[in-house]
Amino acid sequence: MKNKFTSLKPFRKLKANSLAAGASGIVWPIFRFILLLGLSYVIISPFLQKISMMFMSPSDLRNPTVWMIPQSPTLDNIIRVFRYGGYGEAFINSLIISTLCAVLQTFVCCMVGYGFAKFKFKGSGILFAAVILTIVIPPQTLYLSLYTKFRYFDIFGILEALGIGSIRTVETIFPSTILSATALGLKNGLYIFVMRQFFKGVPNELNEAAWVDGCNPIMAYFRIMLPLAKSMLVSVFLLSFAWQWTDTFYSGLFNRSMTVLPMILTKVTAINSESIANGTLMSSVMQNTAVVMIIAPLFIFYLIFQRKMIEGIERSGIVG
Amino acid sequence: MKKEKRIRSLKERNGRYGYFFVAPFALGFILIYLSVIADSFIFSFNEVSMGQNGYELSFAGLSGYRYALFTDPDFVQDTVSLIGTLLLQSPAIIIFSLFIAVILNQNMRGQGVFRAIFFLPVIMATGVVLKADMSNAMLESMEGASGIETGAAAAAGGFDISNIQSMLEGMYINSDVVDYIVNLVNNIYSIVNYSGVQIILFISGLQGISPSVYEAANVEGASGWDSFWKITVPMISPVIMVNVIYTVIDGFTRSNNTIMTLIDNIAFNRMNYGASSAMAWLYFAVVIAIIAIIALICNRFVFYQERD
Repeated sequence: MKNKFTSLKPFRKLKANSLAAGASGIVWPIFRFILLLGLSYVIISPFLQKISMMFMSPSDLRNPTVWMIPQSPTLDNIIRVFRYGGYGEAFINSLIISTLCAVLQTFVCCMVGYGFAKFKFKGSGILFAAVILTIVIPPQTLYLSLYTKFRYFDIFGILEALGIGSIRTVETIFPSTILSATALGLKNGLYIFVMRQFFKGVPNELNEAAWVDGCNPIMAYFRIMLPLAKSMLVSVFLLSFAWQWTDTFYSGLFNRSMTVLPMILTKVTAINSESIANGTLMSSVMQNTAVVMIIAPLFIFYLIFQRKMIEGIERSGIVG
Repeated sequence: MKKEKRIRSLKERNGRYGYFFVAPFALGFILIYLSVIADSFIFSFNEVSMGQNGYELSFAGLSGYRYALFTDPDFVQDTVSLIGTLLLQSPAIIIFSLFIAVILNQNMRGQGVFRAIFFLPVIMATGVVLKADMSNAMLESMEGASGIETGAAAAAGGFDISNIQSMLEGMYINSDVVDYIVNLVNNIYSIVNYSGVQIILFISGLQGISPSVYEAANVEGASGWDSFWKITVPMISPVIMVNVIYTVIDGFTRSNNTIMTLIDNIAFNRMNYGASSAMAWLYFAVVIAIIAIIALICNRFVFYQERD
């Protein structure tokens, strides 16, 4: 017993620790920075190419000595995306649709995830298996049936029986909205799964305390649980927004008449072959320009949101 | 004794609130999704042709399944090799993304910018960028245009792997291990690009851990290494489980992998929607079986706060 208290071992260990900390205090940040820089290059390099192309004039494209930095930079490509691609309108449409879907999906998936994490009820196992099923089956394989479902929208033939007949819901925002509200949108199964795992990590005592104090579970969820989940919610919202923003599947399937951003890709290629000479090269340039212009807002959005996220979450520190 | 009983009954009483919370999904699944996948399931036993009023079906029995298993030359073989590839690649993705998330969670200059850059792969994985890159690649091969590279090749190439390989072999490391590592380094571009979602989820998982836990551990003399294994890993093990399962599912259902391309190809180019559905159902059954096994294994190691 005595030995345990007089032994220098903890002190020695502490010293060794601080020494190591001192060395890694210089080496680690440098190593870390180089590593991140290298990996960032791997990620960004395809975009650098695209960004440089964005400002190239046709003469630059044909000049083999021009590499990355255009000799006669021009804004023509960008203007063309605005004029022929209908960038402005598509941007606003995308903003509306993505915000609507992302807010709905985040809200609903969080709620469903909480239900799976904290309640025991009959059929929860089977229902959760269904959630996993919706992630496993990619919507592309359900193309035909999804389209017909919403083209001739009806629930169990009820509308047909009432004499109204099926409703043509494609070409409206109804399909996207209803799919988001029922957590069946793009990768929503993943969000449910994430939120479930998150709430499983929250101590049950919090919930029980609230319940014992007479707070009903719904109030407890909104007052206590939802604020705790802030950082996960932000991530889910960001993912959902980004995927909706770049989604070509649902927009192509349900709402062709409403131009959203990913559609301008085909638009800019189509106009090009007619109005501008040397088609393929220019159409590739236009596509790259359009891609950068589609992705750039997301990147900026993320940068801003990210700041807010760090400021906003004052380390709630519930887990632990 | 009395108290325990009361809590249990409270929990039981509140169990029915569970239905309220999962109601949106349950309703959507039963009213919409179930009929959609049922359709697809019915297709797999039929031949589908497009008519004036949507599609028309003619019953074909198991011929779609027979086609997938016995007639199609690639399906079975490709599925097996894909499973092998993904089982090797997934651990690398998980370890890599956890490592990056831990780094990105440390305080440093430019944290926000780096995080935003590591967010880009999430966007890259969607169709938009792929589409443009495809036209780039086409152009490159057609015209040999300078200044237009797909980027993927540019980033992955230009790095001589054989040095590392010979170095590792010089260290008497098992050649299988060497091959695995070399393969990973060669695929760093795809590993980085497939870990976007995982990194984001890990970062928010890490942010949920209270710094006071680390402080306490530090005061007690735990090294960073100890804290990582004894605090970080157990605390985010629920997120690790999501990421493992997501990584596997993502690998299997990525629209550019061999099987998904094959299924698409049969549906839209050969217009054989029935056989394609049959193939998809067989494939998903395999994927679900694999995921069930992984989930069972994961569940044993995941640490939840819940004690009941």
